[in-house]
Amino acid sequence: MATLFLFPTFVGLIVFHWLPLAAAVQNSLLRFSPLNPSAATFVGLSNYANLLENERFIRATVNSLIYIGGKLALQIPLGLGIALLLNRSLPGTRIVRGAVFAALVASEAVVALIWNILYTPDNGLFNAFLGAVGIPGQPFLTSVAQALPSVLVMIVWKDIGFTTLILLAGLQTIPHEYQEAAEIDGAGAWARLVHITLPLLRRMLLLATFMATISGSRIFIPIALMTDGGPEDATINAVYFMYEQAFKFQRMGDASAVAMLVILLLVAITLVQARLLRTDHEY
Amino acid sequence: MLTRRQFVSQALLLAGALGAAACTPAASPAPAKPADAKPAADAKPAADAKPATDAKPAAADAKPASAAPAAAPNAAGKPQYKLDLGGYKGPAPTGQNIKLRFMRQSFNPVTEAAIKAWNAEWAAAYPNIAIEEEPVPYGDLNQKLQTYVAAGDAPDAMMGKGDFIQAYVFNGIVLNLSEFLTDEYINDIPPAMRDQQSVNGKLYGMPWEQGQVMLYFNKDLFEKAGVATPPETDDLTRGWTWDQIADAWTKLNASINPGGDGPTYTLASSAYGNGGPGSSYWYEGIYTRSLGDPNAPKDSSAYKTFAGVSSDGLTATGYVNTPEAVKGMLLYQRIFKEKFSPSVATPNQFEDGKAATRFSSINLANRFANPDSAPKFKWGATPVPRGNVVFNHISGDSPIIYARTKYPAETAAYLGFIHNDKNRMAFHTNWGSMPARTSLFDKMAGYKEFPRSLAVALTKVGYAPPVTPGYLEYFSVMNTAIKDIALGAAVEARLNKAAKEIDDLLVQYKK
Amino acid sequence: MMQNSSLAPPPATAGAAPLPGQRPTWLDRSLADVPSYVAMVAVAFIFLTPFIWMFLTSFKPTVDVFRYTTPLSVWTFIPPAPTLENYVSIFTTWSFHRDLLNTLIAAGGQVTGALLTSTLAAFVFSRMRFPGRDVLFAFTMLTAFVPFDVVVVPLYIVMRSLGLVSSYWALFLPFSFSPFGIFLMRQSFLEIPRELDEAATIEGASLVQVFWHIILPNTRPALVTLALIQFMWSWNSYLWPLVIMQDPNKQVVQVTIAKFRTIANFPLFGELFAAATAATIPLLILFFLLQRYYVRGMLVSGMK
Repeated sequence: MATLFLFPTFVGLIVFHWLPLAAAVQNSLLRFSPLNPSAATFVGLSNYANLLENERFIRATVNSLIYIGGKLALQIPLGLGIALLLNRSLPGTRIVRGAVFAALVASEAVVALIWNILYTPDNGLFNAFLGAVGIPGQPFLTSVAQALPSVLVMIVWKDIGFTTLILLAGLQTIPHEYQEAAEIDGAGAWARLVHITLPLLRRMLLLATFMATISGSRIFIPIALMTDGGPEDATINAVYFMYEQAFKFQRMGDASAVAMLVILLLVAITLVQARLLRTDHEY
Repeated sequence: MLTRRQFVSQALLLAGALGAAACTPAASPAPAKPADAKPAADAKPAADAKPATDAKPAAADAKPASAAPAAAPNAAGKPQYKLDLGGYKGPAPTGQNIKLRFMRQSFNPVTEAAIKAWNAEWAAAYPNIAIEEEPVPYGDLNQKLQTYVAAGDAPDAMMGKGDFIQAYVFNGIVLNLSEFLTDEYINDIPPAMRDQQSVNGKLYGMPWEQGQVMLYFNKDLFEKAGVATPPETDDLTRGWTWDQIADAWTKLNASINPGGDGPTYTLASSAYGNGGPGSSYWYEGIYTRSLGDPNAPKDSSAYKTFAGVSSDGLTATGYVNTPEAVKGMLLYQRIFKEKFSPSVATPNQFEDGKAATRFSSINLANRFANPDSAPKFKWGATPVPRGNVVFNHISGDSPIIYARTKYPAETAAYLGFIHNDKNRMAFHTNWGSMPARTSLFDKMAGYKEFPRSLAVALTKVGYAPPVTPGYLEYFSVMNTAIKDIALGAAVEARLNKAAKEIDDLLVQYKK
Repeated sequence: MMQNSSLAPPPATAGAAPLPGQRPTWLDRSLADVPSYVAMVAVAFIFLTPFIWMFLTSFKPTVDVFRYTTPLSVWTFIPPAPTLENYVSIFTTWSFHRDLLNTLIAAGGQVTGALLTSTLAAFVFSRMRFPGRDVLFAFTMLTAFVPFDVVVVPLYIVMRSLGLVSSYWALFLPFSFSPFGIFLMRQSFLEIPRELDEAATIEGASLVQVFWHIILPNTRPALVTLALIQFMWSWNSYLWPLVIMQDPNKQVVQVTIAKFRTIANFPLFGELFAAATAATIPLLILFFLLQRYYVRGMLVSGMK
């Protein structure tokens, strides 16, 4: 019976996911140009060895970790804050919820285009706002120091809706009686958040963390459209590096090896997260 | 590839054994689909009223010119064709029912209308040779070409780039066009461009258009700043030097952009490539290579600066990081350091009257000539500033024939057709770019008059991008380096680093 | 379901006007809520401003799109010469409605496929015991980590072997088998008390009947959630349709939007913003209509 139920799904998974993945694993052991795949040569693990010696790859990987970490550090607390706000069902909640959705559903390419203009150092919208409160103009995407945080902020803005929705759903399951009981006992808002809300939200937080980690590792279009990985590799990440190898540098084998390392990294990160936010989940 | 293929097919067999039942229903409806969709696509040009009217003026323009060449090929003892196939001299296209795929970028609506019109003409003459065009976003052409070739399923013809012909030939993915084209046609392509798209004397790309960098300026803003304008001339020896333009930029900026934050700038943001600083080596490479000297001894720094890469196409160190190149990049860096130009891509500045100068091709003058898009200020054009030489990168888009096509002759015939005089003129009239054939300058209106005459003059100082099978890698590394330099990286160190990166990447082309 | 009692009140009152009888308390509460309102206005402002700009810009002719972006003025937002020409252009010259329809077909296919395969697989992973089950599940989840760029060419070769290149099937079939979907549905199935289906089994229901009559009806919110997310992912997909679709008459909206963005020399910024707006609005409407289910659906997935 199990076979019958799993059958359609697994045929699809084999054909559309595992087969291409297996081909990518195999490619990671070859050296070839996408323009001439028939001239592929088997190079064993040397693609991997080269990568681990490649400073740009190390930089890209470290940046990937910064993107993931930064995304989690901003998106989870802010998403929680917005969720707490929207959970209060005040008039106008729907509009605010809609606004957060809007960012989530918009196309990444158009969002990147808009944010590029917002980030314009000379007289851009953000610097106009900063100027209005007496802060000098900032270089944003054009500076080595600020480019990665600027990309990160845009990504968090775009994706926060996902986190908010997950956590909002979690908040709505927490019975009001718990909160009220704690309030009667004299627990402050902070204490209630830490001792009642967060523990009850743990499973949702794990789901939100899992999704944010995957999407944090995949940031590509904003980097390609806003910074090309620069300035001076400040915003390059592993996925952008992989794209460069495959389609700019004609090195499909190296690109595939990057992908394998990214997968290993994600497996490690999610295992740690699952351990930290341990629930009675079975994986 | 072979091993990968085998692997895939074996795994497919496995999957098939597991799930023949699940796969078949999914697969079966597909074959019927292309047939369903095609008539609709073919019927479009006729049904759509607007393209027809748009295409008309272009066709009318072309008439006097097209009569002569149409007759000429037939007289030359070539097979009889049902259409003017331009420079095509191969066998008459087959009478069997076949399908040709052509991948190209998408254009603006009036140009698309001209393309629809010529495809309708083709369909009427050769209804058995169906053309399936695939228009893709311009920025994705290259990635799509690579994906197709990697998967072994490329269209018969693809819009390639002249710059990458060496790479296509190295990898054996393009057909030699020389055997399908008359010498007369091949010799009509400007020599530098022809050489660039040829390997061992055989032509592999069919130049689609050409572009050249000239300097446009806003006379009103020059006047306001009290700065003398550069000469409006097609005499390249009279154009300004980089020092002169830098001087003018400095004075202009002090007047029209004193705070450095706009909204009016001295030099408009580049619209080449990705736009903004480090947009495309095709433009920024001029700053360095024009300081070199094509006639200097081959081991001199001046020659190496000009060449950009060693003669075997495998070494960049000592070519992209010469003292001349450093000097050129220092000027380029000044543009952003002194805020002549904004440090992020900013569209339409010059057209909006918010920039005093702009580097662009003849397309801009052609656009300004249209009353609908004429600017609200007085403008002029001048040659690209001169270093040691007046320098321009030639080349641009160039259709190629995929080496594994089943129909080389028919594909070449179709490319010949869309490159015939009439279709070229319809294209250039609507799109505004410059033809890639010398004889068309004479036939098209206005190429004797300024500023089009300047564009023609500039084709004579057009040089190929550095000649290497690894130009795609070269180009990508240089774009990144130039962008870093624009945003403040130390010039010499950054060029050294780029040179080393390119060297490492070019190793894969050692035979 | 059990949670309904705790769930029902917040959504029902969300956004609704307070009851007249509560007036005094409402006034008191409102004063206490001032900081919340300030925060909500700030959130709405931060998230809506770029969209308002996109929406209003879509009514500017191409030449005006960037003309007033700097310095900041009222014309940065308000079109000085509002026009519908961009919309006319995309729906006549560019047949954007056809792209919207194609995208709808692809998204519909993906949603249907993902719902079907995810629920079936999730049923097995949550209800049946057999050796190697957890290993199989782990392998299923592994595919969620694969960066797509690297499987594009192998996947193209697969589609070609199946003869599906440039068909509607090609747009959605690979994504109809979703590790995320399986994970989400498995979690929500685990939520349903086993006693429920055990009772049914004792009464003689077959596995298929349990799946169809007990499991599925009890996870409707999760199903809606999965449908919405898959719809959104499909609607915004770009790279795969670009690569696999050769027939321009079957191309999807994001590829057309990229055409407007990258036409050299002839910027079509007006069309770009009109198309981006036209592509976003259907999704927003969908999210608005289904938001209650969406919010409720997500909750099920994380519980056990």
